[in-house]
Amino acid sequence: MNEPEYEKLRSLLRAALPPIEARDPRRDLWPLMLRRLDRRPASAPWFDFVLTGVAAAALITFPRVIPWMLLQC
Amino acid sequence: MDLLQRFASGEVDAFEELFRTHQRDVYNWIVCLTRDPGVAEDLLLETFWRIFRAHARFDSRRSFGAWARRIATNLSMEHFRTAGREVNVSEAVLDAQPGPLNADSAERREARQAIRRAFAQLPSKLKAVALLALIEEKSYGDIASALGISLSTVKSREFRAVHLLRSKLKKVGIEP
Repeated sequence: MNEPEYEKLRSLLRAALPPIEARDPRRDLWPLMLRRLDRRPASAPWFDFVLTGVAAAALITFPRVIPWMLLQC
Repeated sequence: MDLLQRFASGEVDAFEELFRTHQRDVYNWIVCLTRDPGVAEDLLLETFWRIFRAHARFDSRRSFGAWARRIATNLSMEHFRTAGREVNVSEAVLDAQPGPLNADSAERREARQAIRRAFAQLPSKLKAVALLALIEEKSYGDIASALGISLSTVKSREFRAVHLLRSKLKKVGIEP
């Protein structure tokens, strides 16, 4: 492709996809950024783990309750 | 301790100063790639969020702006892959352009749409280089730094993009 063809393609492209003029964001984005920074990661569900552990320990200690529990379902 | 060192140690005040200093440049860089101010705002926030999360890994001897652009470029290229096949030219972008776009003939508008469709079909690596080099006329050095590639790779991607576009346009009856 020679230079004039290259330039023609470039001008076609620039007509279809006009270059963008530099500008500022439409609003102050720092408050949104700050909100993201303040967002704490979800805490570990320790209570759920403890409850599961207690239930498992109870079933191991008293296996005879398992059929009774299944009957309740 | 200078600003970059304070940022690297996790100071939010230093991060705010860097955010306010670099947001315009990074925002405009993303708009050049995505051509959508709304998407650019989201990607700008994601870029700076990733920057803050990686503050401990930042080498304060390096350029913050170049690092930010690189992250923004990677996010914009991810956006290419998830966005539709059409290169978006939002109303807000068109409104900001000089010239009576509505005065165009239907034939011209169709040709422009065909060009946008052909452009959108480019592989994302070629699309990014073509947008930055051919349309936005950014320097090869800036493009290479933002994409993390060599100057010769930028030129070769531009060359490949031009040839691919030319053949796609020929198929739809547009002879560049």
